[in-house]
Amino acid sequence: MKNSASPLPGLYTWFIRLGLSPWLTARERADLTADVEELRHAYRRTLGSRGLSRYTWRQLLQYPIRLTANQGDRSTMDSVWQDCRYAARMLIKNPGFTGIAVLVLAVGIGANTATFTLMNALLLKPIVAEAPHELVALYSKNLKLPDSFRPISYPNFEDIRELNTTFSDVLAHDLRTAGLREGDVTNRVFAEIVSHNYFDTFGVAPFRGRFFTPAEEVPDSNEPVVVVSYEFWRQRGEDPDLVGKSINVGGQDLTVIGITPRYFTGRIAILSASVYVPLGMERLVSGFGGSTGSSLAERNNHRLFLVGRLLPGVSMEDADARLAALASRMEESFPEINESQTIIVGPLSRLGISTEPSDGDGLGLVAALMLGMTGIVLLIACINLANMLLARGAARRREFAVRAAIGGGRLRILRQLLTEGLFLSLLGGAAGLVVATWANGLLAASLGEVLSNLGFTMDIVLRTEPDLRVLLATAGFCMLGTLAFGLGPAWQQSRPDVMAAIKEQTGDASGQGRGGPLGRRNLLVVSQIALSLVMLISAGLFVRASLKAANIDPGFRLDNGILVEVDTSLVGYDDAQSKDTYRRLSERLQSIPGVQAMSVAATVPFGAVSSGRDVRRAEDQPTTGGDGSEEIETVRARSNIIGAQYFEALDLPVLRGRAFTATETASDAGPKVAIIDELLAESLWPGQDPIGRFIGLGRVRDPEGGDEIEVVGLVPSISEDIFPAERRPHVYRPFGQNFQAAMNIHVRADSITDDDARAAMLQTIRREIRAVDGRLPIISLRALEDHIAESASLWLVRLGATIFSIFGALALFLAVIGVYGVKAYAVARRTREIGIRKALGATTSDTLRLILRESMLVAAAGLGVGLVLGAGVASLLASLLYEVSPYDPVAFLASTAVLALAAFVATYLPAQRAASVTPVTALRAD
Amino acid sequence: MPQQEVLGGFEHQVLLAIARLDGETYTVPIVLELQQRTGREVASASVFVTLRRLEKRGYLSSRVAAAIPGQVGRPRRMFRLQPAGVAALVEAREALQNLWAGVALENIARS
Repeated sequence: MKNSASPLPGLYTWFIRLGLSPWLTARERADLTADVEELRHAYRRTLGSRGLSRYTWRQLLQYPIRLTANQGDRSTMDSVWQDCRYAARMLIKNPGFTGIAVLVLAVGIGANTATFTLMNALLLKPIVAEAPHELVALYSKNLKLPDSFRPISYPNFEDIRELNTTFSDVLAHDLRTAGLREGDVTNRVFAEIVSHNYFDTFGVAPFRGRFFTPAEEVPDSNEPVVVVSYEFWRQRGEDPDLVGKSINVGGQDLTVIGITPRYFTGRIAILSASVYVPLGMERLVSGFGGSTGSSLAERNNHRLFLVGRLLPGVSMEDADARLAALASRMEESFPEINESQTIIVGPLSRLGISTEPSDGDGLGLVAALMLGMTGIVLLIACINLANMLLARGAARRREFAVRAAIGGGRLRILRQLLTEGLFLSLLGGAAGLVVATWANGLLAASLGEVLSNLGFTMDIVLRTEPDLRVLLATAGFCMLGTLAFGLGPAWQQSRPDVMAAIKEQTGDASGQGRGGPLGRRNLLVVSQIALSLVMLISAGLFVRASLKAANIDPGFRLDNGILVEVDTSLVGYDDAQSKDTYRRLSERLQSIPGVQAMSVAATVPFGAVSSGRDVRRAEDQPTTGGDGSEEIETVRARSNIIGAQYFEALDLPVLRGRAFTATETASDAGPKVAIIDELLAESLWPGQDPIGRFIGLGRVRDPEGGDEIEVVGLVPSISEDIFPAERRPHVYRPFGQNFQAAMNIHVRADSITDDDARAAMLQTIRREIRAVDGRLPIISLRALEDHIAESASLWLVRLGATIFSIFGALALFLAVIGVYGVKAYAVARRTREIGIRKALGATTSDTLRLILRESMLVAAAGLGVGLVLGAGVASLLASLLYEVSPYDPVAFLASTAVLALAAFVATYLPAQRAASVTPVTALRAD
Repeated sequence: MPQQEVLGGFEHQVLLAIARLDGETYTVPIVLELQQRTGREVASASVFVTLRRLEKRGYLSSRVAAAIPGQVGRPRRMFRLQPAGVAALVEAREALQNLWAGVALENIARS
């Protein structure tokens, strides 16, 4: 063989270079590399490749031990194995101790791993795309209006794609909803409409089949093709022949031409559309706001979102400059449409698609907070374990002293103890990983449930299986834990104090165990109680917030309300068919006995979709600002499109003026009218009667004056969501003048006395809708109360409360174990003292009082520190709490009381046992 | 106790192995020699550490030798037995011989 013909496999060399570097000089590293290489060569034939690999690793792993120990010669003694064997023996010999320690660590490490896994999936794990850092979002920005952005039209997209010098490729897409018919059920699924180069720009290849062609992208080309997601394919039995079959989307049969690669989620993380259709099929998928009725080919139909892949070496700043030049050329070509518009780029948001750049997703704070909280859980777990190890170490003092006496160095004992700690950590870490994976599975399922409650089927690609990052983090938590709980006790116990320890019969060594209120273990108890109180207070605050949110007063009546959601566009109806369907539905539902009122509504309170409009006084003239831009005062209001009996259905009185007439809600004949709520009236015309006045919509005046809308009614304000907590202004317009395909129907029944009556009413409504149109998909049908209880924002608040309650409960559990363990141990060590006290005449209750007084002093110190810390943490949480003061006395008092009680019980049991000991038994002890 | 350096058991073995290998050699042959002669697996880490300790005490000297042409490997560190090392070996042998003198294990085992 030639010189250097067999270079070391990379991992070994790497281990020698980095893994051993703390112990080796440069000279020794070079020597060792040569040695290992030749040894491997020498053994290659006799050991075979697997044996060789095992041999090499075993040999290499001994280096750190030998090099650190480097004391005396233990020729055949394989000390690392000895340590490990010994550690394993110690752990097996004390199954109770080991079990509790592993449980405690599993909780601590599991909580951290679970949180980290989630954060990893949400924030860190890159989206499935080639070189994701090169991908940027494009935004169309109005230079004259501050913070005004809009989507981009198809012709403008084509110009940008063809003319830019910034990107290697640019894609266009929009996330819509579509009806997917399977059998006789139509489900609403998320659908992406995409340009033909959508997948190419992301740099992904189809799992099966092919992606789109340029011809399929051309607006209104209507090529019946569809790409489905990997999840879609997986959930439908992994049909090997799915490509080539057809599925029914939006009432039309489309041929499946391809399947996306596994884990592909487009530009955002975690959630993916189920189907992808080319831009040419845009009319098939309705979109949240309904079809605009105009073709994508029109330059002023701004509907698309753009993502570009930056050319190599082009920074975001360069891109902005180049795109500004392109935008001004586009403005010259189409001044009336592209006036004052420029194009900027920004990083892709991980969680949303928006017309404007987002500054982070606000998740950073939540992530930091949750990791902070789980960090505290780990800390408590470690303190707990440190306590247990200290207690056990005291029992092992003689063992260590003997070892020291026969020449065991301090380092050796330290190493032994840390090895035991590491074993515990690794066991705990493994258990924690299982706990974490299970917990995140639950979370993903819960997320899927809330989405389906919203009437959507969306593919959740929450990859909770641990990846390298998670494993490393878990290993990191283990190491951290080992050092945190193991080092202190190990250091203390390895102190050579041979004579004292061997001579000592029983009782306490100086400064250990009892140590007065400020003894080492008492300090640990104080910090444990303090940290647990912090967790409990946080949990209490979140629970209070979720209760507040669940009992929100929306301003309208919930009982006897029923909500139906239907969408005529999902089965491909055009506007005329849809209007006719809704008219017939209204007649039919109103005729059901027991129905008081029914009304269509575009958006519902606590729904997934809301819509906002800028409202202004129609008589206002724009003022010209200093920079030449025109400004006009507007009020942002929630907008809804409703039927005639809407306010009856919600049991809201019309305060002044009138509700919409049947004519207004059925046809677009007649003057345009609107109803506003008190908040909007107060903003537009403070202290005046709004009835008979006119409003305009949008931030720009319509030069023809056609947007003047007469205010015909005034209603009370309502809450449509729990965030933000304060109510927002509302503007209502009639269905007939503002048609859209996806509608909700509010029904108010006379009185629903019990669950059976409700179920019967729901059944009747379902039957009647089927009778009107058997094809019409009923996306949801349930009581208004259930709808609100299952809404996404309440789910979020409840989730926060649940997670923090779990953390709080874990902290409490750990604290109780900790306090109990320490107390049980401390009083056991004091048996002799107690015996003497009793022999001298102390009664059982005297003794009990003595022990309890000492313990409660420690607990009180912990609670005091915890209250101060808790107040600090609470002020950090303030922004996340719904309508609850961060210093909410109920949360603070309740948490303190619970913890105090738990600490008392944890102390009382061992104290009671110790105090009831008879003097004779006590004095004989040990 | 005055710091009189006593040759430890494994150090003794390593020095002997070097002596058997003509007084100058490097880690790998020592490991192989020890395994062959003692019939036990020897941790290369122990040999590695022991060689350095013996060098520090002046029993061995070392130099870097170029790789042997036609063989695998890189430049390696060769260790040579020094007079102090030889003296230590002699002393250890005498100590052992003194201890062995007159010991009849067969009789003890029988009784």
